[in-house]
Amino acid sequence: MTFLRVMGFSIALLAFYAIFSNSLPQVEPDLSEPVEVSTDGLDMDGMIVLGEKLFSGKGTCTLCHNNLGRAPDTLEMDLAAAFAERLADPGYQGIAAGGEGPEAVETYIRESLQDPSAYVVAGFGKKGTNDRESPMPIVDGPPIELSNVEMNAVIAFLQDRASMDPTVPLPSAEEAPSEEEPSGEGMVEAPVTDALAAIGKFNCSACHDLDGSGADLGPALGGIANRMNRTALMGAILDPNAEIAEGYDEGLMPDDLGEEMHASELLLIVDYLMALPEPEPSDENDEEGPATNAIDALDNHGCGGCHDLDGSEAELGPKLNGIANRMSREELKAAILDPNAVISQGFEAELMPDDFADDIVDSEMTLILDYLMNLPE
Amino acid sequence: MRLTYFIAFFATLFAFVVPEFAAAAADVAEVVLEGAPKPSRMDYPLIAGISARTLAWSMAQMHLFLAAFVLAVPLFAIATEFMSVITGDDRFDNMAREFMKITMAAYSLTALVGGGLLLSLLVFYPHLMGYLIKVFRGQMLIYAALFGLESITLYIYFYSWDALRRGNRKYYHMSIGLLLNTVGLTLMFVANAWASFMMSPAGIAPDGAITGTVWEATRNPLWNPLNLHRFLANIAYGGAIVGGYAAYMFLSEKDKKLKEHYDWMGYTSNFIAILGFIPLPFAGYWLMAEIYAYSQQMGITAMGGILAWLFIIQAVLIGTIMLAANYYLWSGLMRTDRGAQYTKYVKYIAVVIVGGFLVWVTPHTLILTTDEIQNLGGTHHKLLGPLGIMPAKNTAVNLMLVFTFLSFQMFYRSSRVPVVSWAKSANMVIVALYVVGIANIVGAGIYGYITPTVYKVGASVPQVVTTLSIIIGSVIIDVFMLRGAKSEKVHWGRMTERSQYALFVLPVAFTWLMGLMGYIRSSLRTNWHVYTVMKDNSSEAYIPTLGDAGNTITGITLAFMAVMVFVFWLSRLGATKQKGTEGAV
Repeated sequence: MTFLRVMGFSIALLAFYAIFSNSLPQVEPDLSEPVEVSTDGLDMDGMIVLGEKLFSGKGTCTLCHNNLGRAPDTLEMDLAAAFAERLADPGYQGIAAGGEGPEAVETYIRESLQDPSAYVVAGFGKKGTNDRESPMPIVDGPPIELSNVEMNAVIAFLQDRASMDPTVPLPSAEEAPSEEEPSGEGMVEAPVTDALAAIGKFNCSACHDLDGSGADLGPALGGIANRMNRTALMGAILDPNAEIAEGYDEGLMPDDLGEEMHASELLLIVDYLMALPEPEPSDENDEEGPATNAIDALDNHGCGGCHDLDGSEAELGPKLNGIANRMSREELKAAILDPNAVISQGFEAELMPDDFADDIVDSEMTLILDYLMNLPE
Repeated sequence: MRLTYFIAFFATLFAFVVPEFAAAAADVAEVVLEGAPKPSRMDYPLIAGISARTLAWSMAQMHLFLAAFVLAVPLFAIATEFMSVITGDDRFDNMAREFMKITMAAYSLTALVGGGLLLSLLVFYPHLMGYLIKVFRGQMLIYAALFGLESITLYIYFYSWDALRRGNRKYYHMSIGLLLNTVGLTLMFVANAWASFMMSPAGIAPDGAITGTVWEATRNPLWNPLNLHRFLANIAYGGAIVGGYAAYMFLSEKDKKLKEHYDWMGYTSNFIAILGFIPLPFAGYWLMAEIYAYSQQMGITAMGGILAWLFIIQAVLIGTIMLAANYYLWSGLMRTDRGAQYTKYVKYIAVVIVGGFLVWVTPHTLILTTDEIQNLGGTHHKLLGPLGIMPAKNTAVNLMLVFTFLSFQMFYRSSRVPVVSWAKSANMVIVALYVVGIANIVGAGIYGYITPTVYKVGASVPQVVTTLSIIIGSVIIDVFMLRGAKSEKVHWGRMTERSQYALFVLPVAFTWLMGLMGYIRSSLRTNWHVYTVMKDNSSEAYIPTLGDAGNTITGITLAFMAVMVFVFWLSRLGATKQKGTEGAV
């Protein structure tokens, strides 16, 4: 009896610890394959955006360069004044010492990234080294391992923050990282070369109204150039949750497009969107008629934007290939007309529009159902 | 007599020679210009769907639990044996022997699980093991030889107990104990070298090419901090396990004499556990400071990054340990007739311990969603945020340790009445020591708020010195003041059953805590086998969530408890005789 009581007590205590550790916020690991994406064709705006992303991401600069006092708070300080001051500091004996202008700043930053102890800001050296040794890791070595292009991007970002025109070279095809995955599984898809193909590849129109598609999960993109500049648009694509437009939800737009997209694709999309005119005021009488074939019907209602159809790989909603094996025609129709009545496991409610009863005419519904019920696995 | 001289000679010889031997014998500079291997995902064997990481993790953790126990128990067995010589009290000697009896049963299981760990690493991580063997070369063979020596000395130490129990022979026996502990600690230091090398590699080029000696790889930046941390933790852990055993025996036994014995054993084990535990946070700070010095990035990953919540779990575990240990000590006041006069102070100590625990458990740098940031009105809570940073936590832990020592001191005092004329003055000095010390700890904590972040850890040094000064100062005064004191009878066995459950909390919480610390230490390497040198490209090269880690640690702890129940059962089985064979030899 004593044994059982003691074991019961101990197991209850263990259960408490296990439950407690499960009740805390869980940081899910990133299980995606490490992929190096080509930066070939990136322009200077893209470099600045990439640099900003690297500064707080892969470069891990903000771990120390923040307001906690471990390193100078780079993003809050007057960088233009700081660079000028350090280049003129007699204590700095590095390769840019005494220099002036953006080129000298570029040299100074590059030296700081590759040899952080070349100049240590007073008070920020390793303890016991009298500010002769910096605690900062070399950024082009492990564990950070920024490539040459990535270091250039960080330099461009910092020069831009200091209100200078970046002087770093743009990446060329030769120095762009290889597109092979380092760990051996599969290959990165080749970039598309046409803006519309790129928009289709990343399913932008599934959520954003582009040329009157009517999608409204994200803001309409017509006339976007009147609302933000090119750099901000790039940032919004690469880090969509940094700022959410009023009336829209956070977390809907994939935040890994920076890893999925080739730089050339990003540029194609941005250039296309910046040229999109404001949409014409809608004319109630000018509506298109119902689609006459299944593909157009599916396209008109944006089904492929969220559902995987013939390998489109969209994953906001369940895959539709082989749907006939999982539900009857009536159930499928009910799921289209009242999508929130039953939610498939692993998917979220309220994502699919619930007004298809008004939008899809009977002939289109028949076409869609016929098509989907015959779609093989 | 010849045998004892022989043993004494070799014990002394090995005690001085073994550590240097292990570190230096394989220390042949052998430059291997080839860098560290770069295995691809396909190079990691996939066998029958077994999770290689979980298997290696479980084996390593189980081996560490058992090894910590079998290394720690001889340490305080020899200390207890020494006490028996000093005091002439045979109870210490009997208890030390009983400790060792439990260790004997656990020893072969430690070796068995160690073999399992080695096998799992060789099968699932052949490239890593190949590389480590190249770096440490002959040291691995020396480790195996030391293990053999450990076995021999352990068996001689235990089986010669009665043969070398009295007179000068006792010193020969203690010499063997010294040899056993020297070999045991050397084994631990050698294994620590491999683990710390993986975190802070040394003696190699940036690409992993071996350019230095084995000694350079051994003496990497985190080796000594890890050695100290594990040494102290082992003492605390061994004490906690034996305390749990004593508590179980106390609850099971009906015989009054045996109950008294196990109560005394429980008290002594708890004392040893807390003795090892008190300096542990300071060793932890040193380890963390060295981690920051080696790689600021690694330090931030631990304290302010994705592992930050882990330290909240750690705080809960340590809070549990402190509360349980103190509760046991307060319960112990009923063993003496004068104990009641100290109970009025218990509530104040409880307030400090609980308050310190709440400060320690207050988080600071957290990963928050936008909604949470909006609800908080910033990234930190306006009122509670300041309690989450190091000065507050340092202050809390130091006060908790000071007041835990006070609980000990109260029990110690409850059975002794000083007879020296200057007792009143000495008591006033002790009170002054506490008051000034506590004021200094709080003052240094406040100073920590106004100094730059990089010096906050440094600001904890005066706090640590103050805590140790209070403890050491009080002990010195007590020793002189209570010399020749009038002893009050201690009614061993006069304890509640509930107090024994507090003793169970210690081994359970310590075991889980050790598992958690192992998870943190390994996670700091992120996706590297050998940090910055050899990448882990396996499919499991990611930091598991706290929940997953918690479940795994719980599973391993349960398995360890089952093993220990088996070990305790074995140690009792040896003393059990079948009815009718009581007289058999």
